[in-house]
Order: sequence, then C-alpha cells, then structure tokens
Amino acid sequence: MIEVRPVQTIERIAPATRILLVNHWVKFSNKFPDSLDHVKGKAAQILKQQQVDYQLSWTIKENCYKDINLSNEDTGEKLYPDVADNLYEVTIGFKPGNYLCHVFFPADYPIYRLDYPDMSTLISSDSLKYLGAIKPSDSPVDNPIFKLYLLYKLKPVILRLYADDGVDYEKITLDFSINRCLMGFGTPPQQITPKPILYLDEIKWLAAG
Amino acid sequence: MPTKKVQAYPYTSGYPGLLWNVHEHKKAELLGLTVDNQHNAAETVQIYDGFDTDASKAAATGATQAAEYLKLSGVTSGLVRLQVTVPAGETVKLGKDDLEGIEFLGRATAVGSALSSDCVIIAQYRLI
Repeated sequence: MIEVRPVQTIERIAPATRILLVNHWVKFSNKFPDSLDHVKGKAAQILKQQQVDYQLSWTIKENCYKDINLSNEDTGEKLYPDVADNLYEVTIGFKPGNYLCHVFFPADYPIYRLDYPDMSTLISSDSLKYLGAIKPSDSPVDNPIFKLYLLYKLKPVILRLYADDGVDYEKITLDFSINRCLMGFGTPPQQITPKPILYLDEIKWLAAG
Repeated sequence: MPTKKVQAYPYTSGYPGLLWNVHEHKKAELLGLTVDNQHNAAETVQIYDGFDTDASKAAATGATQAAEYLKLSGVTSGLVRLQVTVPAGETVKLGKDDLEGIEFLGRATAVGSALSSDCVIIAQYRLI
C-alpha cells in the first residue's frame, strides 16, 4: 500500500506582545543626556507592570491648535513617572476626526522632519502643516501603534493638536494606555536581546545609538 | 440604542427639550428622528448641538483663540445640526440614511417653533 500525502506545513506563529511585560529587558541608549544618568546606557529588567487607561479630550475651533504637555509640570497632564525606577510605556490611540497631531521634543522641535532646512512642520503653512503629522487613522483607538517611552526627569513631550480646516469645530479625544513598569537595573542574560529605547533626539536626527 | 422623547418647546431658558447630554470624551450620532405633529399648526423643530470649546491658538497667527461657550451660554448659542418643518397633523420620520454624517460634539436639544404637548419628538442616537 502506498500512502501519498502532502508534507504537513503547519505554521506556528508566536503571538507578539505589544507592550513590555514582567521579565522583559530594555536597554537605554548611550545618547541619553547626563541629566538622565539614572537610565543612560543602562539595561533594566521589568520587575512589575500595570496598565492604566486614561482619556483626554479637547474641543477646538477649526484651523486652531492646542499644545498638550505630557509632563508633570504645572501646566502638564502629569503623565510622567515620578520616580527614577519607573518607565512609562504610553500607547496613544486617536478617536476619528478631522485633526492632526504633531510631536515636539522638547517644545518647538518637531520629532518628525526631513533633512533639508526648514522641512519640518509649520502649522501656519498650508502645506507644511501636513509634514510629519500623525492622523487619527495612523493610530486608531482600536489598534493604537503610536508609542512613547516616558521617564522621570525627561524633558516635556508636547503634542500639538490641530483641528484642520473644514469642520467649524472638532472634538479631539486621545486614548492613553499607560504601561507602568518598575525597572530593576542589571545585566541581561546572554541569550536575551533587550528592547532598545532610543532617546527622542536620536529619532529626530537619525543619530546612531 | 438610546432613545429620548420630548415635546415641542420653544426656547425660553433651560433645557426642556434635552435629548442627550454632553459626554466628556464622546461625540454622538443621530440615527433616527420622528416628529409627530398633532398640533393645530405647522411646527419647525431645530436640533441644537451645545458644547464649549477649549482655549487654543490660531494656526495662521499664533494669536490666542479664547474659549467659546456654545453650551454654557444657552441652547440657541449652539449650532443647529438639523431643522425640519412638519405640517399640522403629519408625522415625519428620518432614518439612518437621512441622518448619516450628522455628528454632535456635545449636548443635543430639540427646540420647536411653538409650545405644544401635541407635537412629540423622538430621537434615537448613539454615543461614539
């Protein structure tokens, strides 16, 4: 008897975690400034973590913008850790609407820009206001992919929310999922590749870590 | 799906024709509207959207754009999102296809052209 059957091709896909979990490792870049020497160049294991959800909304007139400071400054939204051992992995989802979001770090320095001089966002320009802008569809609330790593003493990250022309008024709602992580600094086991955490300036300038 | 029934009230003060209140983080979609006008005259019903804005800055100049109070200042300071006139003794029903795309940022209030308990307004809506 001959049995002919195809070779079994079962694809096993390991579920990928989208947030840091206990026992994960992170490695902070050497490009972090000295003011953040509590993490600069260090590796850390996640010892504990807890997810906290939060929503914030603003209603803005069209062709106007509002700067949202995420830090713990008096005018900020207080979304930063308040102790050196904590890392906040913040995922931001945008509810649908006719608006844009620009990311500045520090204030007045857009993260997303091109190399040619002046090729960075300019909210008063009809064309440059779209350069480097995050649209709600880029990171929707049901599948958010816009993520920030916030640390104690990190300079303020500013989100510039702009209600685009054509709608009179817009209600802008941001869905924050804050993964509070307690870090234990050390040396990761050899078989572990820690998740690299770059300083925001490195992303801005494409500097090597 | 939430539903709210009110009678026709002309605007004087307060919110007697309140259909739903503002939600801090949600907009609302009007999915259905019935105006059953058994009043002895035609009734014009307007649906107002009342909300307050946050202070911001004008993109063109950077000048401060002060907060606006389209809710706090009273129903008629809001935006009219829908208006329908129903002759005496008739009923108008607007469905999802008629209302698609009408979005409310805040509080929805029905305002009639004349006070009448014989003119009934029923709204179906969804907070999103």
